[in-house]
Amino acid sequence: MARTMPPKACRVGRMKATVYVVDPDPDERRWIESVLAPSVAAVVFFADATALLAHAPIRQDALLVAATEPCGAGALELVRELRRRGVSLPVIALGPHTAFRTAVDIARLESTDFLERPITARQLRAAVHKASKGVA
Amino acid sequence: MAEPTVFIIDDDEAVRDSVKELASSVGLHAETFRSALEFLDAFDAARPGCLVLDVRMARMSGLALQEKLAAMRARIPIVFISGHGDIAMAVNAVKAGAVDFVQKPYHEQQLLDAINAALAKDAALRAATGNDRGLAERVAALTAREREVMELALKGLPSKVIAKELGISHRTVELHRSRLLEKLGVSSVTELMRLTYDRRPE
Repeated sequence: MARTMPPKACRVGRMKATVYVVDPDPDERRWIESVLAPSVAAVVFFADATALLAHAPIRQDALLVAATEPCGAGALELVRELRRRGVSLPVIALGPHTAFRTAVDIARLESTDFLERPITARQLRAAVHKASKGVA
Repeated sequence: MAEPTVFIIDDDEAVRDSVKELASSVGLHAETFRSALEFLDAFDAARPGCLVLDVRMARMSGLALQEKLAAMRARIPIVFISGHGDIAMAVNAVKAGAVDFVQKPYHEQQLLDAINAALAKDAALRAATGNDRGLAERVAALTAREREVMELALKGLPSKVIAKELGISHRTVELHRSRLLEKLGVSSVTELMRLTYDRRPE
């Protein structure tokens, strides 16, 4: 009888990064925390872009997970403003299929990634791992 | 400098015609090609301009052409247009250097804006490389520290590592980074890498 090997679990190990999260949806926030908290140093939530921008100092080992819903322009402006301030923290933007335009605009900025929702826990962890390589 | 050309590559004749008409309507010179291979046959890196390129084409896709041009070190800016764009593909294309990725059916002004941005980028790249003294002068105008940060950033080192190398704070590295990019007139280290790639001594 043929044996199929189960896929190797992707063990990223604990990353030193602090993950900032801007996502207005409480269910999504809960999910993100459950996925990332075991793998990173800390997960810090901000109510919105303004709160993040007002937060000082931005940790040097941080990266940002930002939802583009409900306002794609808000997420884009947030990243632009961060870059304008010389803050190069890696950004992972999460949005739906309809956020195509926002995805392209965010991708044009440095140190960004865009993942189309819904995403799996593995995808999110892998994206955070990849982004944290620059700061770990 | 010769007048720039919008090179349009799409296996759909109706799209070739409408993009050409759109370009012509604002006074831009345009040429059309039925396939990526047809374009490559005629390609001359000395001709200024940009590409408007569909993703899905028989034999050689738009993304494959983008890779091929990168391998040839040809820097002609690319605007993708596609009815089949999924987000992951578009993000990859942009990360690989595409100026924009426009969904079909396209808004005319959006495509025009993308074409204009691509032509401006091509002109800036040609001015920078054509005017060696320009970039060299701007580099010479950097402070010693900014030059150090630039050299390390061009090696692909992230700010935190540069900070360790130079014995300064991460925050200071970030400030130097954004100042030197501004002084050199480039929007990112990646763009600077592309500009300096040709001129680096062996």
